[in-house]
Amino acid sequence: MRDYFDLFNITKEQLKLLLDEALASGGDYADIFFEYSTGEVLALRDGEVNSIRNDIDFGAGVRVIRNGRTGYAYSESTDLRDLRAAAQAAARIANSPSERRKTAQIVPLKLKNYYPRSNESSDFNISSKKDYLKGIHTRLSEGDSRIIQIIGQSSCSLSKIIFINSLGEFYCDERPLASVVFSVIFTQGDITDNYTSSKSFRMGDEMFTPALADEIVGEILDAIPTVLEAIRPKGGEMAVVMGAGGSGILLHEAIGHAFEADFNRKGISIFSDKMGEQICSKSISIADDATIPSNRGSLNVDDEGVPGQKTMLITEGVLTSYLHDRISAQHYKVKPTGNGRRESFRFEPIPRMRATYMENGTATTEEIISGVSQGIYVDKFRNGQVQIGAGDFTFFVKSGRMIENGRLTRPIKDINIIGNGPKALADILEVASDGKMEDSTWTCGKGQQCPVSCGMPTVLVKSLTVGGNNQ
Amino acid sequence: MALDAGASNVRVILEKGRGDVVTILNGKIDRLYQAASSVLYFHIFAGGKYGTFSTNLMDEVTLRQFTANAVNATLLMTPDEHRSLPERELCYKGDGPDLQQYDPSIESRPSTRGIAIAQEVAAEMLSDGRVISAESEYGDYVEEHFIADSLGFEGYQRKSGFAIGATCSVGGKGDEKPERNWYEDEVFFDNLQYRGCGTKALNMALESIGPVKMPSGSYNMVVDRNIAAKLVMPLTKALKGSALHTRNSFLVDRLGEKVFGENVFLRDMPHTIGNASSRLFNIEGIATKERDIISGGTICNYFIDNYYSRKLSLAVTIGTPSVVIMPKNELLSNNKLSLSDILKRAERGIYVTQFNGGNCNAATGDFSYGIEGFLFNNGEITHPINEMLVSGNLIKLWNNLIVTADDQMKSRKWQIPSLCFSNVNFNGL
Repeated sequence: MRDYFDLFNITKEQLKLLLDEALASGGDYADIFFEYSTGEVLALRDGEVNSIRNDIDFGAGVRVIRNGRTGYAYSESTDLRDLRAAAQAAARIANSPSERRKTAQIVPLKLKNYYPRSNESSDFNISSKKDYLKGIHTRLSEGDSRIIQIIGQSSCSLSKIIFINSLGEFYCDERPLASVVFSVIFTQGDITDNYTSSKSFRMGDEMFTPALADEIVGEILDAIPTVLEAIRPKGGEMAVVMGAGGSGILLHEAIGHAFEADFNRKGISIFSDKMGEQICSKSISIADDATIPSNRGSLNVDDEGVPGQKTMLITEGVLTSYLHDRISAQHYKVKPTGNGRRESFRFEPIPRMRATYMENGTATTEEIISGVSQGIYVDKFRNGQVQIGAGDFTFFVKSGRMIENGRLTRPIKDINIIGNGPKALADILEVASDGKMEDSTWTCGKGQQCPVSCGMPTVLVKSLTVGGNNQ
Repeated sequence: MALDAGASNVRVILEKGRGDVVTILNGKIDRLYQAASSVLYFHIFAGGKYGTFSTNLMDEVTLRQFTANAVNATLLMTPDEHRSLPERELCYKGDGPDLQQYDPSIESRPSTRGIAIAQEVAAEMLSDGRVISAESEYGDYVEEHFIADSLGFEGYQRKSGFAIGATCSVGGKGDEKPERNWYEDEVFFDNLQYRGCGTKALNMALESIGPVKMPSGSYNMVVDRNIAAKLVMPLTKALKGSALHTRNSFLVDRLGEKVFGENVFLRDMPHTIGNASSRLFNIEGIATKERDIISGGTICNYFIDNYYSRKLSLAVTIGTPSVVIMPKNELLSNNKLSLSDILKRAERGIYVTQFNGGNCNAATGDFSYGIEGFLFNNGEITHPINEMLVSGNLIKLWNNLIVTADDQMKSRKWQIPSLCFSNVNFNGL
């Protein structure tokens, strides 16, 4: 902890002084978020690791809340004079100096560690990562002669954080995040196409294992012949079987955002008056979880001092909780759920997802597919979006297969799927027991960029609208 | 410092910015936000080896250590002979026009002006009893960019910006709560047309109540000017050097070819006066100039920066577009056309006002986007639609352009008017 205070050149006494300053105009609550982030990206092009990017970001943000309203300012200097100016700027949200509160006694939070690092003292360095990327490149280029370009990238970042609030809650946290991304461009005859595989975890260099390289190489080499053979299906409404893993994007887009309580506090979410109601089949339970070890969406503690936890959004079909930050929790008179997240010290926290997944059902994948006479099976995705008020969500499918008479047939690709959140949820007819988390580099962009993840067992959605040809 | 540490050349970019934002939710201040940041970037060249670095810790001792570490890390890279600073004759010489991107009044703006504007815009929305939530946001900012490199280039750019946004949710049929937004942004405060923003967002939300889903099929498609850039961006992306080099582009090897309809024109206008996206030089210091991107359906220029110029043995143009305009096209119409005119010209079809997700395959040009909008018949809007998709291929789409309106918004980077295409594939019922 001493190291953190030295890093930001600040003392506990000064922190308390700053919080008192932030509350001087009558704020109900104040917090300060110090962050020192370093990041390194190595890029492989033309068979060589020939560029590096390295970034340092340092500063502190001060937030003041008054009656659910937010004042926020940040400083890139932790000089006390600059921090006081930020505190004074944030304090402007309040205008009742006579109601001035005092900061409570400072008590460190006791936190679990969901991203333990196994080899912090390892000698895995830039040269090792170069070899790692080049190794994957070699295996890909030797693995399929149709590949004409390979682009690879490793990324590692580490954020060191001090947080303190006027309730006296205090923590230090160190958040690693690493990823590997490989894209290939391949050609056969007059067809040229691409495929990308990415993996990401809250880990450091220990992420770069031979097993992970095997997984990336295997996924890409398996995908190439399938993508080359793939077509666009006939579009329109049809049954969609969503494969285990990445199909969790359905949860993220169709319901996850609509469960973020800032949208519900404003009354604009299509789920804003559904708490406690049965909104889907009893076979469905959905969680948003910060506690999965080393998962990209995991957090020991959120960005406003609430310990990492698992939150059940839907339990046996009943809407049981929204995703809360402190402001929405106070509005709904519930405990915050640890979903107050921010992109960096430059932003105030808002309700955000972490790792969102559906729990297992009892069906098998084979049973589900065999019950579909005409539809599609989808398992790889690229991006998604939702209209919160209307509930209409979309996700872009990179690959899947047609289902004809209960059998997986021709591969399909590059289609968008659109549906309505509440209806799609109610239309989930079967849930398999093969749930798994998707470990790709999912980043959610709700005004601020936050790493997230998702997961899902195979499910059958009775009907969604599929983009495709009309012939 | 970087040269002292062993770099053969270096480019340094200093970016400074500051801004204030106020958000009004349902008539009350919901958020006050103040930002001020400075970031220093280094692009280090060391004997063909290359790295980019950034920090906002700028005391001299820390910077000296940072640059030494940066050079050492760069030296660990594999050399790439194409990495270098651009030739001097390509660089901006300081002889360009004043782009008029800075409003000095921002330095003396009254502290309560933003609140008053945002409240006025919010009040426009709260005038209707069907409103569930009315949010308005006013922000202003100043940005400064200074670029210098070790071969003597120096360039400076300063910009101001003023923006107002309105987001309105209304009670619809059943559980639906349609939400629409409108925003305006300008370099000069006096040009900011903030009055009426709330009314526009409110009316758009009310008009979208009770959407229906249409049968799948081929329709004429009119795309609103607010979102038309979504159909242009994949074209310029496919013309970039990085996409061409990796052949992850559906427009590779097509320079000089007529690929699109003869009525398709796009032009990069980096010297547009008073536009926030205009620039006299790019991040490499290379002087910008006006260029045709597509003329009469023929691809006229790629976007080639210094690196990809060397890599692909192509002349430098510029790495990314600045202000992209679709010029008035006499082939389509001699008259000034409004959105209403092109709806009449198309007679019947789908008027798309929002895209909802989707993507475009860079290698093939195949796209699939979610859409919301309206069905129109005999040139008149009949009812809102939603939960539909538009899918196709960009080359085919841009060969089916029928007509464009003359309604592009001059403050935007992408000045694309409302567009009308024939025979577009929609998926619905």
